[in-house]
Amino acid sequence: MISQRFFRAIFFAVLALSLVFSGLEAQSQDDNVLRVGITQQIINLDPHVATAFSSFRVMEQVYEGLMRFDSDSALQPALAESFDVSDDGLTYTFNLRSGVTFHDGSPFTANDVKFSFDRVLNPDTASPQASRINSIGSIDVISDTQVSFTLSEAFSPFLSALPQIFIVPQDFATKVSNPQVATLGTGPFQLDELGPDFASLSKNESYWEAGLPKLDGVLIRQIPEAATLRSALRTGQIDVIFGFGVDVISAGSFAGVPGFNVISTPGLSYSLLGIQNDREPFTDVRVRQALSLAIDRQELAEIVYFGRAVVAAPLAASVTEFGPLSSGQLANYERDIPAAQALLADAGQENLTFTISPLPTVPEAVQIAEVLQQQFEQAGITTELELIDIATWVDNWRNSNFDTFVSLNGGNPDPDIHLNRHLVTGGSTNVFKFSDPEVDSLLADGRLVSGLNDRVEIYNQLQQRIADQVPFLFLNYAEVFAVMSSDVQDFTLRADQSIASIRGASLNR
Amino acid sequence: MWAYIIKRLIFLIPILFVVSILVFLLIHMIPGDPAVTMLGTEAANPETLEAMRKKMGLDQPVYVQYGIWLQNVLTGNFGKSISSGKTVMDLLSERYPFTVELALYALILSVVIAIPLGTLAAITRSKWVGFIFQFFTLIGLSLPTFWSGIMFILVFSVYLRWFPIVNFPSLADAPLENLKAFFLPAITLALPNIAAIARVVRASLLDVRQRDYVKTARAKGLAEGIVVYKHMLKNAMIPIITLIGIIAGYLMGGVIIVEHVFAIPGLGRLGVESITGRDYPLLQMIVLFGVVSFVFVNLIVDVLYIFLNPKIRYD
Repeated sequence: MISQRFFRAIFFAVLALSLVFSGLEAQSQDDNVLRVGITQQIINLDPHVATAFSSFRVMEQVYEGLMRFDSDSALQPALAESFDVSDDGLTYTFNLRSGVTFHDGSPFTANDVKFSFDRVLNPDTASPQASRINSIGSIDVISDTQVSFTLSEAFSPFLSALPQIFIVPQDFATKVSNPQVATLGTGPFQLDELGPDFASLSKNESYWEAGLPKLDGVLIRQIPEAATLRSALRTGQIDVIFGFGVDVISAGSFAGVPGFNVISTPGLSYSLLGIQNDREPFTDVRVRQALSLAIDRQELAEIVYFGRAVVAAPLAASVTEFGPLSSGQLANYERDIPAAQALLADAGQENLTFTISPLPTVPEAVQIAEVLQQQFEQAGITTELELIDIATWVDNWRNSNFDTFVSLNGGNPDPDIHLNRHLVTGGSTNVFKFSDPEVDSLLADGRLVSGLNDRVEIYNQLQQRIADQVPFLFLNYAEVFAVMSSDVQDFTLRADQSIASIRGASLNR
Repeated sequence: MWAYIIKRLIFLIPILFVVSILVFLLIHMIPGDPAVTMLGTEAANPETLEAMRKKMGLDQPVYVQYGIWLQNVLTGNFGKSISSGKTVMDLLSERYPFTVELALYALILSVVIAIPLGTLAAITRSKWVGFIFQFFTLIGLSLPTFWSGIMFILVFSVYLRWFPIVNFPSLADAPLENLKAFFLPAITLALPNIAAIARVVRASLLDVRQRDYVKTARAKGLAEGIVVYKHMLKNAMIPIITLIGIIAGYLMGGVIIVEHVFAIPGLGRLGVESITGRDYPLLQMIVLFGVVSFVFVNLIVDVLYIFLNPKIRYD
């Protein structure tokens, strides 16, 4: 009898609970606010210091540079209306857009440009961007709408560095007490709130581009678990998902599902097998060449990315103006196990054994390492996978304390920014300790020559030299994906995963 | 009893002190530092890295850093999170309501479900009920939280659409919507605890079932309900409360995975983020906050014993 009463009590409790809950509707949402989901934490919005993927997704809505990349990664003027370069390639004069205001209503002038560049170059800021513009000798404010930069030496990638130098007002320090959590820019959206796991942005009503932005606001929300991220999209609680949580498999789960669109674009970032060139036996170029010959990059792309990736030449295929070279034009790119073994025999390394340490935060890095391990095995090369935590991994990486590692390198449309610091002797991210005088001199030439055709010629030579010397193995350029509800119009993803296109996007609920 | 409570609270001070030193040493012993994590690949540039370390105060020796931290804490300044720039107090007060609500909700669900369930299993004589009970509690105990959480989302949120995900309205503004939104995470967190508590309730009731005072109560002709509730359950409560106390403490740790799966911006996730960011001022306070909560929960359990069994005294 008692158990009957228990059952009855439980039954009524469940019934009551479900009645109460079913009476509730999901909270009403603002119809014209785009809700974007990513897996990374949004942390640090200092426009000249932050480096995180998530920080950039917020900052690129709030801040603008003198130039910007359009959706095809081609350079366009932004806060500058036009510019002139002197014949010697040393002086760049920018004519600034007039009538632009910051989010607090103060006008944008040449002094703000000078202040922003000075802030980046100031050692106290500790800006990672500084190394990209330290060829600047002086910055002169000519008038409110004109500013000129004089470089200490010709530097053709100068313009390509400008989209990342965000412009802040000259009284930034007094107006924004903590730039890690508050912002003041000229961009299409302004930051309303930086919550524990979201950034809430609202429309800049006086944005300079006529008719933009079309949305009233953007909510960028962090959902750390990829499965939950997909569920939130599926149940209509998020409108767009992209970034590290949206790989080829999760994007594929939405393919052909009514009500959802999947877009993809060839990415700029590439997977690589980093090699410590200063460590035996990798000091011998024959050993490095053998590694390149022993692997099958196409098979790797098929297995890890289901074919949604291309074999990586040193320059990205998505940057068409620098014409990517095909595998046939590059040495050591076609798999040739006998040749690899012959090279190893020459070098006295028939029993080559080494460790591969994949970047732990990127799941595909482990997969890539596993596939490479098997491919090396087929060529008689023994490898051991070393799995360690991210901070230790970064520390080892920074101190060149590895045999080889698998990671991803973010790319850039400009070939110099894309390659220089990884390859030049003593370069800031040349953790490979690679040093080759010919590569160094080609990299230097690429910076001095300003005509596009001459640069293409230099970088073709450079790519061939890189393929021959094998500083590390460029593996694949993977496609990047975004999945969105079909309510979302005109949302595009750029090769570097920028979502600056949101200013032209709209919602049709 | 008050003297006992005050004594326990005074013991907290040396515990907190030792824990803070341990946390400080540990985070400095593991490789990587906040400047490197913050700069990412840019950390390879030695000048940038040194400038960033100087900006963060990391160029000082470890004991100096600890001294500065301790001095600040003793004067009521809990410092700033290195990676986000927000004050530690702001971050904690922004995040802890989520975690406390989740843990309490899970604890209440655990108790409210487990005690009737365990009682039912103890008093029934059916072998089948006993078998089914053992079977399901074993499953409940063994299911990993991240898996059951994702399954609950897929079944109840994506397929059946009964519960929202990702949106957590505040308890003050919309209490019912809030309880609805937190139901799945709370039940996910509660599931293994329901199984554990229900098993102990059953075992403990079976233990007292044959006691003389229970037989006496029955012989007096008391209704079965009163015998179970007043004579059996109340006497079986000590081990149950002990277990609930331990669970309440561990819930603070268990929230980490549930917060990750259900995208709840609570303390557990903040703790993980502070470790990956090597954000020691933040990690320090999260750990100390955890220690204080754990000690308090244990204290409450010890005080509850007195009410359950007047024979226990702490004088």
